[in-house]
Amino acid sequence: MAGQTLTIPELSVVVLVGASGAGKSTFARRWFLPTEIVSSDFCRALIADDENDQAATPHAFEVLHTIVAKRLELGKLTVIDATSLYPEDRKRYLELAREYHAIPVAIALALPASVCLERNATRTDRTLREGVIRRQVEAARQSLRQLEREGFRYVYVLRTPEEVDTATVVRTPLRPNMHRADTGPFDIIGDVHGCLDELLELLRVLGWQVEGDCPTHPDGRKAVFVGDLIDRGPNSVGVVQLVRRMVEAGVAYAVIGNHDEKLIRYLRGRKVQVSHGLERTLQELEAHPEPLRHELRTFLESLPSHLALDNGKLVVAHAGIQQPYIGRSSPAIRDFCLYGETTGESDEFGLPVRLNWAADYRGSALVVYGHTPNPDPLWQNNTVNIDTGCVFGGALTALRYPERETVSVPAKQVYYAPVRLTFARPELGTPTLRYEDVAGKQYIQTRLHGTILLREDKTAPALETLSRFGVDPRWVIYLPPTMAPVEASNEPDLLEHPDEAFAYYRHQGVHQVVCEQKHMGSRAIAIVCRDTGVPRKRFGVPAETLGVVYTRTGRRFFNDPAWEAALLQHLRDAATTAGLWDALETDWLLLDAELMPWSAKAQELLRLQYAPTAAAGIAALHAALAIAPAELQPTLQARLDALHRYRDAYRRYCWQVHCPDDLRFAPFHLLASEGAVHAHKPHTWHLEQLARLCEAGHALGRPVLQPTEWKLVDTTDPQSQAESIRWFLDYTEAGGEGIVVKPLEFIVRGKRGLAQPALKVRGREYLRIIYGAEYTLHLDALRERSVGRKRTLAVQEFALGIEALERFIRYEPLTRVHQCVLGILALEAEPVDPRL
Amino acid sequence: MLLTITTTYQPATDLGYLLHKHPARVQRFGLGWGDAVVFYPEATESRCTAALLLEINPVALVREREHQLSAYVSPQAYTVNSMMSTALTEVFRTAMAGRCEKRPELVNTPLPLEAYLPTLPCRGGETLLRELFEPLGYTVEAHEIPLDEAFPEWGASRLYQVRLRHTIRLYELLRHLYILIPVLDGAKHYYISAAEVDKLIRQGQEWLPDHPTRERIILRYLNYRPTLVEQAIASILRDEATPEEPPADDELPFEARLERPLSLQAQRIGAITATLKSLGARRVIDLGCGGGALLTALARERAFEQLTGLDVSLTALRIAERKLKAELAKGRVRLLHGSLLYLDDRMQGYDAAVLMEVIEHIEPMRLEMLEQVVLGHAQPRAILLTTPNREYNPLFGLLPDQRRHPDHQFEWTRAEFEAWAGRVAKQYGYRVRLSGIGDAHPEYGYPTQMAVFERSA
Repeated sequence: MAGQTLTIPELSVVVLVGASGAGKSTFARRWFLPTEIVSSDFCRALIADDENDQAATPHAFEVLHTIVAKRLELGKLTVIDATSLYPEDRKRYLELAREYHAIPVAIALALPASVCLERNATRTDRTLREGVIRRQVEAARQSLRQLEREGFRYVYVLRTPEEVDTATVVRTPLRPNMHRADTGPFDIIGDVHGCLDELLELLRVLGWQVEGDCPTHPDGRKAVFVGDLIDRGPNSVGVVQLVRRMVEAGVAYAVIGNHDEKLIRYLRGRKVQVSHGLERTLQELEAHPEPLRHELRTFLESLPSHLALDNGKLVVAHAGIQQPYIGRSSPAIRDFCLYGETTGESDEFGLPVRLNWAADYRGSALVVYGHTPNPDPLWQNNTVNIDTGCVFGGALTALRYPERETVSVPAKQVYYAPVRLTFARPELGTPTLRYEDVAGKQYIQTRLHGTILLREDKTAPALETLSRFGVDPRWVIYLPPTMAPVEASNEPDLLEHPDEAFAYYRHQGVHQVVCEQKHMGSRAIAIVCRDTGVPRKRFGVPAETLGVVYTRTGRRFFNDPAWEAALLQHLRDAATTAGLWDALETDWLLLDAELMPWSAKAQELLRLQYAPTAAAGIAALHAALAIAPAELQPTLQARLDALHRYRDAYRRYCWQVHCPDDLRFAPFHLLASEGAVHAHKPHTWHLEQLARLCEAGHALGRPVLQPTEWKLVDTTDPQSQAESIRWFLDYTEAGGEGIVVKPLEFIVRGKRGLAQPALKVRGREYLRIIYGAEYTLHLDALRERSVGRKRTLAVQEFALGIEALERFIRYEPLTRVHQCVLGILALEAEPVDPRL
Repeated sequence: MLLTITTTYQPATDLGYLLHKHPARVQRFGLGWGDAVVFYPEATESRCTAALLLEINPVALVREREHQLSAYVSPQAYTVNSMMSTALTEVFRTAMAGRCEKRPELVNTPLPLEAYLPTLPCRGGETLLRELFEPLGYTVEAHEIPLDEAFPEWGASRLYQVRLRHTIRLYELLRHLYILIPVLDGAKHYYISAAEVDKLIRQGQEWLPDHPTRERIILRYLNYRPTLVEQAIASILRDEATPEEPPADDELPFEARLERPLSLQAQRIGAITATLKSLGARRVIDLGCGGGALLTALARERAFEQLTGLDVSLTALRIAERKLKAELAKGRVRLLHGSLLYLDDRMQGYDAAVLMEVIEHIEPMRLEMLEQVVLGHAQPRAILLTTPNREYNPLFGLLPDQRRHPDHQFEWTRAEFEAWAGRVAKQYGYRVRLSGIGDAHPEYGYPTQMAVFERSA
């Protein structure tokens, strides 16, 4: 005889109910992983060394509840192996199931007392008195009637040893996860609301063949509907029929919308308010026979609350979803997916006041939803609302995935007058950064370099820096990584030489490197916007500016806002003249640059440290030379020369700045623009784009933008290297800081993971500012330096910087961008020789 | 780096006996951070000069764990500073002790002496230099060294070429220099511990008690470390009643100097404590607790059951931790690292939150986040918030666009504060009342303004 089939959803809390000796543990072991089973005996043993120590029971259950809660939080099916004979025992499990949106399942082993007694007698580990067993069997029997009422969604009862032995447990995926493994590609379509013509048009634009009963796509794309197929529009029945055929043919998926849900309730004979366009659908239905109504109802009832696709990287839900709900199923989740998060209040138009769940969304899955119409697709954090109000005369929009492009067709007419007269584009609200998300020990997953660990004692100072001095975190989408120098050179009078850089990259298998002039000023990150609306629209920063300029630690670069505004205005105009906005299809640019003179930012340091060193050194050495005996003279003279050279070195990087035109801004990376991180383009692309920008700046008659000179060098060609070495020596002797050697490609994987993205080679005179005025007199001691730690940090920070940008352009939650940026600052707090 | 001592006493070469260093030789002494070289540029019967030249290895000066780039480029290697004092005691130990076996009578003979210090840093300028040496009888000749002729706008160097002339015993000159060089520099190259009090007593007991600026010398020599200063004053001026003399103005933080006569900080703490009690608050969180001044006061009150301090600065928290050690051990006081710009569940569940002189440190654009964090998320039953009243600033002698502290991002007028408090109260469901702290001025109001928010039922 075939036994019962016990169907258990993948994320369930399975509560075994039965007397001691009913065979619960044996049954559990047969059908579940040992780690899925949490038994009270085990918990007792865990804390009291004895699984029969009844005194430990209350504590054991505390442990058991905690384990169950943690497993459910992580989305793991959990089986509770305890007698669970009384409603009060089971209540806690039902609460946990509700809290974590797991399905409560009860399996009762209601075996006769005789069986239990017999088994109990043969047990060697413990025996219970007969009375106890009999009471338990009776309690189990009484439980049977109550289980469903208590809230268990599935209740299975096994009454004989045979039934227990022949039962089969089958796990089923939850509806939202049925197609999780499907990687698409997908065309996700917004709220159709009966606009059949526009739907067919949109499918055609997307490349679907719409002739015949069921559209198909030549590339095997699948359509995903975000729900609200019906109501308000002219042909709701037609739309549902089309979508049904597509779903049945396996070329489409759909999730349920609130309008669809309401129709189900109506068709089930429930009393619903006929309004908000339902009246039109009902009118249409009158013309159709009963079988069709039944077909519609069955189809709509089959639709899941949401769908997780592409292995969980893509989620589609009608009104949106919160991170912990994804892939789970419960009435609360269904409500959220249908209606979003509402306050329960209505606004002046009688529409529900919605809370902005998307503003709080911090998940890594892209959530595509609809429900609330907007003039354009609305990206926020890692979510996009593609309801563009077709039925109200807007457009029907699809999101192509994984391309992340939106495609829209305009409505042919206004089918339904919107209640709200204008579509208000919701603000990107105040960012909800949480302390717990950025503080303490952090692990950050990066695309380029795997997981990067940030230690707690380093994230705290990073947080302090950004909190106390940083600009609005919504601006800080990037911080520059540190850069390692070359290994020490063995040239007699140089500490650093390009040869070591060429050798490094040659060893990494890189043949073409770019040598860029290194400017000596202060690092500046500039976000330049096309107009003053962009900060609010794209960055969520409520400021009417053309962007921001900040330092390598996220501080505002200029104390005077007028200077920042002047520089940004010029950068914007130059970008316009250079045609960058259209060429890159963007309305903002992120520039990585050096801002000169050094004295503009380092004034205090110069005044209190660098200049007094020269003043004191020169005065003291003059005084000493005037009186010192001959044997001391040569050394003192050499030291005085060094001091003079040192003073010459820092003076070259200083000039008085009276107005913004006295500044020099030398960009060398065009790191990102809308939809793109330009880390996949070679450095020559960056330098050419930026050269155009600088030319445009000069064409506008302003001297501020300074191009970066560079040379392409072949690391296997001695001739090519010799030329660049000469160039380096000339430049640095004339006072230049040095050069930066970068592989032609922005990102290079070498022999052991990511290669250094750049190596700096600093000139002899410049290094006096770093190693001390007289360092050239102690070169041999200084050559023994280790660059390993610095290089590890350079690669990690580089990966975090690119990661921050990749997350930003994908509209991922601010927290996820912020974590990377804080990570860079945290790594900067690691102790490394600051002279490297 | 260089110090010379010249005498015109006849025979001048006796200076070699007093210093225990032969005028014909160049002698080198190893010190931890480099060498001290002694030589005589001039040694005749009529005039003799001894030079002490320090060859300092700048890298050896960089303290461990001090990862400051600027440490490698430091004027310390070239100035006359505490390293010179150390070198004096190492190289001229016997002379400083006032002993000389070959010429014992000379030790106590005042000699015409000139000390030449080519690069003497004077924090406090020439005025302080004269105030320190002239009362001891020196003729002071000082020229300031330009900081950088190419950039006159960078200002003065506070670095002087100095000649000090006096007819005085050699050991006295050495002891004066030993103490006063670091006093002028206002810094030492090593950690200041209790041993410094002994050094000050040893080298200063004979002349310091009578010096007119002795308190200032003690304060600066001991780097204002209160316990050390107390010890030193007690032993050096033991017979006198010690007048309570606060540090001179330019040695206090700007804000403290401005507000000192009012002791506004104390009044704020008093007002906040009283208000918290009147609200019946038992669990209080001090947001932006800094070094724990308010928490320390609140901890004295039994009315408060749980006190939590939160600050973003780890340095401030470490100071608070030291101050509140006992209370922390009892668990009644807790300290948290956190930021007012990040939502934080740990801030929830308090009867009252205090933001004492905090908001003015937040960039105005980010204030919106602070509002959300405190009023929107932490949601204490009551919030006490103080901030400067800008209208009062003229009474501190500030210019219209000047703020009380360089880190203040803004300072509000009474109207601005009222408008802000009213708006956020409405937005987040609080009632607000405004008041002031300090001595009110009929026109400008109170120096500090306070808002008390209470959550509407």
